Amino acid sequence: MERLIVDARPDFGKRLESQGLSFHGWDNYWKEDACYSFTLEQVEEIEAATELLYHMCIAAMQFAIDNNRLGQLGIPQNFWGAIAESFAQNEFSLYGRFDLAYDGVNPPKLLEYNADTPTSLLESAVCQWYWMKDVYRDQDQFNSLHEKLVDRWKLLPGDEPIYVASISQNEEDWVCATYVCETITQAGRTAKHIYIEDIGWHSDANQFVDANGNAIVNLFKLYPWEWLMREEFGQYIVQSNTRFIEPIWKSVLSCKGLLAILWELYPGHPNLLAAYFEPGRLDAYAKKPLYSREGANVELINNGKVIARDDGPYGAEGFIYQALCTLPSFDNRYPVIGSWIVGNESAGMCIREDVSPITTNMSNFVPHFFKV
Amino acid sequence: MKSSKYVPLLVIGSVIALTGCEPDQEREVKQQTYNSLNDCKQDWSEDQCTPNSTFTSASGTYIGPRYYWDRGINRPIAIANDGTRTQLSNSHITSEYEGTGRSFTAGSVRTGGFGATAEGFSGGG
Repeated sequence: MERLIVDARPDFGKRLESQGLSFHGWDNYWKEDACYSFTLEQVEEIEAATELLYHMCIAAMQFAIDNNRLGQLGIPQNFWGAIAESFAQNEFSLYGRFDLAYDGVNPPKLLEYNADTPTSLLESAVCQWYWMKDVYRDQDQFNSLHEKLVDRWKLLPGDEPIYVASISQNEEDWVCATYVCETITQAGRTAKHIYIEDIGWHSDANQFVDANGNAIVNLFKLYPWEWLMREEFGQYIVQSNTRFIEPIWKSVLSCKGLLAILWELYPGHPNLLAAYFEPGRLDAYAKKPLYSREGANVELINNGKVIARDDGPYGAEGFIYQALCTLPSFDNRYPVIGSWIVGNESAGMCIREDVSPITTNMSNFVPHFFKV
Repeated sequence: MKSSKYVPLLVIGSVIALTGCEPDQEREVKQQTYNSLNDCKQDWSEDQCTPNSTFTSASGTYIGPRYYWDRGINRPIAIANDGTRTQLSNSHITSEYEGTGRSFTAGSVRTGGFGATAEGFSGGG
């Protein structure tokens, strides 16, 4: 694994915009004057670890249900039954992203699993692929994300339209949602975008509906379960006939409390970091809210001293304490591997790097390739 | 926090079509759901009754057209999903229809019940 300094394509901004990545220039989000290279063996190590971690997460999920641990994960009790049923039925799931610390030498370590609403999808599946075709056309990339997403949609039962919901007034989410629509369309299904605020509840039909009163049978929502459950319409979720994607059982996997349960089940596993619900068991640790996004409210603490922190609105549901993993530094940058999984198959990776050891929504997206 | 609001069913989707003709008047748009085709045919002609296949919780039921009552001509006006309107001359619906025990109004849709938590933050991560 190396970080290389390379020439950016002279017209890269125009190319990215033509691919739909309208916000590439915000805080220099897309960064292609550097890239990461890997060997095939390293890519295969990440791929194998990703699929192994997924199966471990599924086992942890079953353990949490069987041992009445959902409350400890901050999940309201009125959803426990629906979660157990959804999981037992193996309700359709599209994708997820494991965030891994990796230096090319030691085994990848799971930092967290974004099982519910991972973004960076367009840039991972499309933009970095075309970058590689332009810059390293004789090399390869760990990236089958687009094909796997399209194939996965083909497995969704029924033929009703698939609504894709994102919040209004957020371009990053809109871009991601639009790309999801594209994958749905390429799978031969009808996709309809809807803002999450515009979803209606039809009290007589007992159904979520769109602005025209049409029933929403399938709803891909780029909106986290912990928010849906606690908002006004959360009370209707269980009784509705809407199929949510990601399904409600993914709400358990997207909780960072899962990291503590994984450590409980697999202590000492080479792809895990020690993690606990209780404070005081680690000297150097990351304090993470059970639910947070993009590094918000994460604190890194070493021997009682805060060495990094990121503010935010999260933490009401509690925290977990994960052993501090010093990210590898390449040219004074800290990369985090985002390893995608579609269904239960590893599907490629992306890299976000930052000058801070906490990866946030301000971190740069840096493309990669591996040598053939 | 965003407050939720009650809105008549079709105003959400058809406000442009409605206000194009009478910009200062918002009409009450209705749609009825029936327990059977026979029930539906008491208010509408058979070709105006549609199996209620979209609402899977109400399978086997029928819905009439979406409509509002035009007091000028004393007839219901049907509204298609694209907002186009058609005068209905072969219905039995009346202007006083309130919905009875054999059917219920489908006119209550609320929005704004999702989305309040985001407050500018991305829903993704």
